[in-house]
Amino acid sequence: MSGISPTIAIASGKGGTGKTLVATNLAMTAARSGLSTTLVDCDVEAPNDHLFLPADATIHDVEATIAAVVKDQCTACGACRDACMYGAIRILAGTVVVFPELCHGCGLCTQVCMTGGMTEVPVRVGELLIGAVQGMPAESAQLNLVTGRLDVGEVKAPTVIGAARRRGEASQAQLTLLDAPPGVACAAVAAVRGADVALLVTEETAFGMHDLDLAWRLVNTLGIPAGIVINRAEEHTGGINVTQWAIESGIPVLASIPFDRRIASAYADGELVIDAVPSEKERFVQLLERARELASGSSVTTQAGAAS
Amino acid sequence: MIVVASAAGPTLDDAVDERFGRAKYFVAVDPDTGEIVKSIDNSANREAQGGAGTGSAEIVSELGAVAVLTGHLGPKAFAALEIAGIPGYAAVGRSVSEAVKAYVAKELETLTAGPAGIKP
Repeated sequence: MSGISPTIAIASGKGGTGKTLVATNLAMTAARSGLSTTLVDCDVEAPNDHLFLPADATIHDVEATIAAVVKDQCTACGACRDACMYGAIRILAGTVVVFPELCHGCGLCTQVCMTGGMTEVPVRVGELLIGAVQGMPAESAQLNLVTGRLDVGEVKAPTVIGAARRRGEASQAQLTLLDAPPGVACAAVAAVRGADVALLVTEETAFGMHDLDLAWRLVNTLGIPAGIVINRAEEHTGGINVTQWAIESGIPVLASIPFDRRIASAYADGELVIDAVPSEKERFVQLLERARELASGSSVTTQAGAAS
Repeated sequence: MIVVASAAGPTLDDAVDERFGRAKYFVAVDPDTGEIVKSIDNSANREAQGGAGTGSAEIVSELGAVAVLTGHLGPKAFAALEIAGIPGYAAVGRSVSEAVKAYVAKELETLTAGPAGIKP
């Protein structure tokens, strides 16, 4: 994760701003430019990148560890129950019971147990789909897609995101893209932490603006340089002005993707907009260049004309 | 023998609390005498971030209850009570003492697992 093989996270506070659109089109743009690229779909509750980038994938289980009672050794002393921060261990009718859906897998119970009555066992929480994107032009570099998928009803998104990112790093591509989940809590942190740059995708609505500010505060807290991508951008008629906010906050606007029915239509059909709408091909080439400059620590000439 | 009611307060005259995991009080009653054996303030589970249902089941289990009189059991509370071998009965709209009398008269319906998380 350096300027030589940078990691770019694509994030947003609000859902539905266009992270997947930016991530998939940027990944294809990079691979076609000759950079070997790995896109990690960290939106593990609703991973969609594969719809735009069909890959011949192999499937691998992702496991977390949870507490389990060793019946022969347990004396039901209650030390594990008292230590558990999550209320996952109870003594019912004189027997220690673990509620797996409440267990965070911290392992504290195994540390406080003096009799060897508590252990940890692996449980499946999700899966990874790993493969090379098919149908790439001959002159392209390889494009790998690692998709993290959380099992329905599971809560351990960060575990699946961590596993997906490790597999992504193992492919040693020249560029790694992380398609983060929306929000600013555990899953979003797991997806963007350690990235060289974060592209914050937003739209010029009150919701978009509000949640962009949250996302900015998250990446700022994590010490990640950020650039903004405005999606569904329209001519300014007053109201919400992300560009103005970006100038005042000292964050470069790296691209403005226009509000265009052709883009929406291609996206809805699962197509890459760089293929469907001619103007977008060059826009993503420029976005890639600016994002890589930002990742390498350089200042960037932005659309707003302000350097970071 | 002890039956435990989730209750809005610590006395026999308080209403049965619809919530189990996040009930205000648990009132343990001897159904033979109709007298309170113990009243427990359930604020620890009320204020817990998670695990309130299983925590309340643990309290009831430790009291040695043979039945729980309440309004609603979430899936984890239900599972925990099942492990403890304690059935739940629907008793909302009654005071604790009325609920215990209805339990003794076998007028109460058995509860099954409902959806999680009725908000206070």
